[in-house]
Amino acid sequence: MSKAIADYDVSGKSDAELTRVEREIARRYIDKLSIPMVIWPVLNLSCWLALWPLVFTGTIPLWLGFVIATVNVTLSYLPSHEAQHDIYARPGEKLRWLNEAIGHLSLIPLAYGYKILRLTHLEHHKHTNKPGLDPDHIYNDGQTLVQAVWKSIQSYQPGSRAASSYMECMERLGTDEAKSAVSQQILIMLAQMSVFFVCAYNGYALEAVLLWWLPLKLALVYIRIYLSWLPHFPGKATGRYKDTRGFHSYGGVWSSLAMTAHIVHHLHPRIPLDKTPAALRELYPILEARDCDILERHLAH
Amino acid sequence: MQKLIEAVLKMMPVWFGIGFLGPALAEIYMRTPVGGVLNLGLESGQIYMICMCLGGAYGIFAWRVGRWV
Repeated sequence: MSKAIADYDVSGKSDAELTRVEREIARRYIDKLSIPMVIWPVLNLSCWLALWPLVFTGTIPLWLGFVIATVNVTLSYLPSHEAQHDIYARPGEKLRWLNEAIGHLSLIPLAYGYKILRLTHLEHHKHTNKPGLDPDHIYNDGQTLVQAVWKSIQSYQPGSRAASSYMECMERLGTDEAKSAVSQQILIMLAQMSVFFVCAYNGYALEAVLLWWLPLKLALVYIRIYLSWLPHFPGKATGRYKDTRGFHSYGGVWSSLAMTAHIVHHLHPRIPLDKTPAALRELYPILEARDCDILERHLAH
Repeated sequence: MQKLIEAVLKMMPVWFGIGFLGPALAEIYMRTPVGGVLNLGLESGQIYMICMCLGGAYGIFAWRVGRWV
C-alpha cells in the first residue's frame, strides 16, 4: 500500500459531500478482521506468562525479564481497546467470542478489567476533553510533558482524584453493567495482590516487582502519554473534528503505537488500529478541509 | 458485611506494605549487594520482620495521608 498522502481535490465540496466521501473511505477499512491485531495479543500474553517460569528457573536473568515484561505490559492495552470497540466482531457475529476473549485476556498484564475499561473508554469517546464527563480528562489536562507524567504518577496515590476518576465514572453511569464492572475490577485487584503476596511468601518478591509491579507503573505512564495526552493535547478542544490531533513521533508511527493517527480512531472507531495510519493518509485532504489539527503533509505519516 | 469489605479494601496500602513491600525490601537487602554494604549482622527472619514492619508503617502512612510520595 502506498505511503503517500492522498492529494485529491475537495475544494468546493459541501459539508454533506465531505461527510459522504469520508464515510466511503472509512468503510473500506472497517469490517475486515485484522490478522496482526489477533496475533498481537496472543504473542504478547504468551510471552509475558512465559517470562515467569523462565525467570524463576534462572533460564533468563531477571533484568532481561524486566525489560521484556515492560514491553509486554505496555502492549497489553491496545488489543483490548480494539475489542472495546467491537472491532474483531460485533454482538451476534460468528467471531464475537474472539472479540470478548481478547478484550478480557489481553488485559491480564495490565491488571485492569475489560468491563470498566470498555465503559470508561466509551464515555471518553462520548465526552472527549469535557471535564467531569471524560474519565481520561484528568490525565490529559497537563500542559507540559512533565506535568502529564506527574499527573500519571499521581494516579498511583491511593487518595488522588486521578485514582478515583474511573470509579466516579462508574458511579455516574450507575447501571447494572457499571456495578458489575466495579466488582470485576475489585476481584482483579485482589487477584493481583494475591499473586504478589504468594510470590513474596515464597521468596520471589523481587521477581514480582520486576515482572509485574514496576513494568505496570512504567507502562501506564507510556500509555497515558502516548495513547491519551499527546493525541488530545492541550485537552481543551471539543467537537468531532477538534478534540483529537495529529502529532509527530520521532521513532515513527509505530513508536507511538499508531497514536499519531488517533484522530482517525476518534472519527471512525471501528477501523482496526493497524489500518489507521493508511486511513489517515487517505482521509488527509478531508481532514485538511475540515481544519483539523493535523501535521503538515511532509510530517504526517 | 459490605462495610467490612470496604474497610478492608480501603486499607489495601497497609496490606500491600506488609505483604509485598516489606518482603521486597527484605529481598533487596538479602539478594543484592545492599546487604553487604549495610552489613547489619541480622538473621533472615529478623530482616523480614523489620522490613515488614517498615512496609506496614509506610502503608499506614499512605492509607491515612492518601499518598505514597
